[in-house]
Amino acid sequence: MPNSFYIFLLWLFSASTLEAQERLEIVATIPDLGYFVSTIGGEHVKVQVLVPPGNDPHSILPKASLLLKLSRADGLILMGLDYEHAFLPPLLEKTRKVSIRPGGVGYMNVGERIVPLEIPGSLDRSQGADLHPRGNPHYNLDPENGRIMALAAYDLLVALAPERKPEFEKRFLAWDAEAKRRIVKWKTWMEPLRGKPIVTYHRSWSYFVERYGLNVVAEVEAKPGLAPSAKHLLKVKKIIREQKVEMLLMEPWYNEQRLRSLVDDGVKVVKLATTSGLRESEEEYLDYIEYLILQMRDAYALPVPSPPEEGVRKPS
Amino acid sequence: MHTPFSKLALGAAVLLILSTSSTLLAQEGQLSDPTDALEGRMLESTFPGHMGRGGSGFTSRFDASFNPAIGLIFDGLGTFSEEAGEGVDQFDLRSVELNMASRIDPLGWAYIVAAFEGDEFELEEAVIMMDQLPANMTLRVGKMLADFGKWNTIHLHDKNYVFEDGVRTAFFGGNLNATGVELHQWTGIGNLPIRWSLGVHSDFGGEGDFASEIIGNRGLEELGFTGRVTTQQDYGANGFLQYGFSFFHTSEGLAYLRDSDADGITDEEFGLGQTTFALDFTLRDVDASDNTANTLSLELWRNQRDSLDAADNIISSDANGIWGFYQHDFNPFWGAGVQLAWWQDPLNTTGSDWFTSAESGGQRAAFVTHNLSEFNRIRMQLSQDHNVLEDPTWTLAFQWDVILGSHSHSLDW
Repeated sequence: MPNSFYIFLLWLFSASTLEAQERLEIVATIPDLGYFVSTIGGEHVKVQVLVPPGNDPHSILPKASLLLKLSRADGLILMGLDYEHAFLPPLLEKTRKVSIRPGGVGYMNVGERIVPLEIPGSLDRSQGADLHPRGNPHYNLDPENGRIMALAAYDLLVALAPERKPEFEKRFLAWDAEAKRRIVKWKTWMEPLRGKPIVTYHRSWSYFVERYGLNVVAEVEAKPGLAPSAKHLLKVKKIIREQKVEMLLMEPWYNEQRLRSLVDDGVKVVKLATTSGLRESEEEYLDYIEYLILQMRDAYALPVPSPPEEGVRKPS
Repeated sequence: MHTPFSKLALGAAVLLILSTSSTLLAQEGQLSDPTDALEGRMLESTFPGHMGRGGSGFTSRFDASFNPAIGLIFDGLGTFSEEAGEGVDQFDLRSVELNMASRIDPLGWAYIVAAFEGDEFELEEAVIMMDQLPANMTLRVGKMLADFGKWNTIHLHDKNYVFEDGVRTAFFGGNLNATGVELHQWTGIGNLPIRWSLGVHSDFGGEGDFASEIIGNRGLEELGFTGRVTTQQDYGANGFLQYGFSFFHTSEGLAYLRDSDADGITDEEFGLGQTTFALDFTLRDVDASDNTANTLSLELWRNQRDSLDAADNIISSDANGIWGFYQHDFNPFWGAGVQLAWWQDPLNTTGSDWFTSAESGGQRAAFVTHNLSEFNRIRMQLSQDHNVLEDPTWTLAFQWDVILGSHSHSLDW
């Protein structure tokens, strides 16, 4: 074998080692978590996100490249509550890196810090396909939980690089102050919508709905993870008419075509991913939540509060 | 033939396994899985009424703690065919598969797959996986689906089509099932993940006439060896391209029937060899932004197999085979695809023309799959099978698979 091949391998090894020495490599399962880690860690972290923005986490493939990323990571931050059921357990099973497995110094399961909603009292598969025995995992849609997520990211970084605690703390506190400011503002913005009826496609929006007192009167999926039947769609249509629902909230990966009959009744279908990062204006978690709130107000013909945050688009 | 070398090699392998196990046991303190404590905490926090595990760590005879995960898979099949024979023009429960898996200790886990097919019971797999060896190595010991090609380790009911590909059936009699030891390792060169495996097996074979389950001593010549190296490259945001190379070799491990001692009774003896190589290519692209997916898989096989001629002399035949399938998923609930295969008769010494000869077989099929849920799937397939030296026949098949109990996703590569 030519010497150049060995030199090439040596170069690859040394290049990756040097980079690892410079920055902490953190794997975040969703864009929101990646955002918190990069915001708090700054130039001291390199973040890899496993679920691309706007992608259905149920459809993420547990690929060998993800295994490689995990095996080289210093830390792993995840949603937990079985959010990553489709891809993370088989990867964690294969990786031998004890530090990023449960109990390891680099393992942060944020779901353990959340008070989960909708823990099923009983569990069997007649209730649907997409069941979460530990509770609804979409807690990132409540901005108060966003603060818990940011704190978890901070704790992970401090655990991995305690010498940088002052820097991380400074960034975390700055972000948290901004988050608190916006949360107060959003509460005012959402107040007129309290009690308003909405329809959701999947049971992803429970935390947002709980925070702002919205009223989910129907779900397009009769049972989580299963396609709606024509009979169930008729039932949803009836509810929309009777309760004068003006907004149907759905993730971009669901098929809109079957909802045409509902749209005919005047309901506005708002397609939004359940994490930040899909649109340029939603790259940051706080902007994503703000965009979501503006969309809600727009659906109910409420004017755009002025001034909107810089960088946040008005709903189209 | 049992050479001193082969016995030495086997002895060395056993010693290696034992020494590795004892080294790992010595490290048990370091490797003890911290998940138990974490899991207990999680249960307390999320299930307020849950009592959790007893502090002593002991269980009673009737305690469900530490029990293996259990799953059952019903594979029902209705076939309507031009071809007369057993199992056609009727509905049948093709198999009921029982799966059980559990960790043994921090060093490894084990699983069994047992299938009930009609009145027959078959232990398809019974494997101990030592998955905490150093350097990302894993040792599989027991009866297993051998690591050969992309699809050999997948049970038929889990594949994208109803019937096994004709190449595998012609050259191995179905999935290559083997009893022995396989060493696996994965690593990465730069950003390229690579996995390899090497296996040594004493019993091997699928269904049909490819089998080596003679009870008795074996030497190196009668053992079967498998190997595979594969790599995956990312394709798009959520897809991959996978390439692999696999081999199977036995020098004299296949049996044949011969009245060797001229007593009028045919005896089964070792003595025939087979060498099979396969190149595999798979593209899997799942667009998680709209839940559509495409899967394309191709395998090219080269087979060399011994057989007996009319005078009971051992002769060798070369044969090629190629098979593949493509499936498009319109959404998580509906998919459709085609399956194609072509192969030369593995026992034909004269050779045959590619794709046209009567001494080659072919298979083409189109299928539609409807997933009622992740645990309930129906499939319809129309296929034309052209076995060697037979006329083509059409078959319409309906398959219904349901999964009960434990279920998980896996990283297969």
